[in-house]
Amino acid sequence: MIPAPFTYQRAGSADEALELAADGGEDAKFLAGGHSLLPLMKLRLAVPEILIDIGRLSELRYIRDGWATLRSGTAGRSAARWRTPTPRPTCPPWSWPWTAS
Amino acid sequence: MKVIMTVNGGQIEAEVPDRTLLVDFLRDVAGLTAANIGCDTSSCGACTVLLDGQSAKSCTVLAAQADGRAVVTVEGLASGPDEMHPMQLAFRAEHALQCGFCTPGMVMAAVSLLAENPLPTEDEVRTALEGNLCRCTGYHNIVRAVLAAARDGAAGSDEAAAVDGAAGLAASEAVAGRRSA
Repeated sequence: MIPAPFTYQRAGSADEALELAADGGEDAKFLAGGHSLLPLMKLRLAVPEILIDIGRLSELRYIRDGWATLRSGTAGRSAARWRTPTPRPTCPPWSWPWTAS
Repeated sequence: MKVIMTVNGGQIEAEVPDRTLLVDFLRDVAGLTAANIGCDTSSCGACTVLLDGQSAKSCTVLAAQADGRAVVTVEGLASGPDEMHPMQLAFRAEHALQCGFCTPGMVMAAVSLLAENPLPTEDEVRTALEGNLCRCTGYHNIVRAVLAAARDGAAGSDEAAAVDGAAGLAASEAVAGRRSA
């Protein structure tokens, strides 16, 4: 299976990504890694006309541990989150049991 | 779009539709058919390759996302046509394959694991291979093979898997240089 045709755009910065999204309107979707979106596109459950790749934006790849919040950058990898120790063991996905080690 | 990537140490350049998946690029453009298309929905892991040294399911990555990056398939693991990578040797020694369909993905996931964690526990091996399915259900021998490869120091022997994200392309070119020298 392959997705329906779309135009691939790679954003060079978060600001550019927002501009591309504004230009694309409802026809555009962001692509970080793609492991959720691309299977949906193969099944035609999602048919965006424009994909804006934000996967290389290091400014969106962070985990910030605040007093009452944990913020995970939208281009961060799940694997990085699982490897990050946190004082909040009840906060998914950090709470998944197999991430304890 | 025009895509240029380093595949098993050699540079490949092609004009492909934007929707081309990495696994199709590898199989149809690069002619490398080890990465298999199994479930096609990123569940089974038969298409696992190394992307800048880390395992990735190539059926769920666009070729465009791999543009400028380094890809290693199981064909690129061994140091020569008559050689086998230590992980391949361990899979053979431990009888870690039956039909063989999942094997390229299993091997690449295992190589990626040892690059991150050279001496994993059995639990860590099982966790790391969660994304790879074997419908022959030969998991015990696969885990045994990965543990054996780790004991034999397979992680240290693998230059390709040690490639780090930022330096992926340059390092991969260096590997290519060494191989062709």
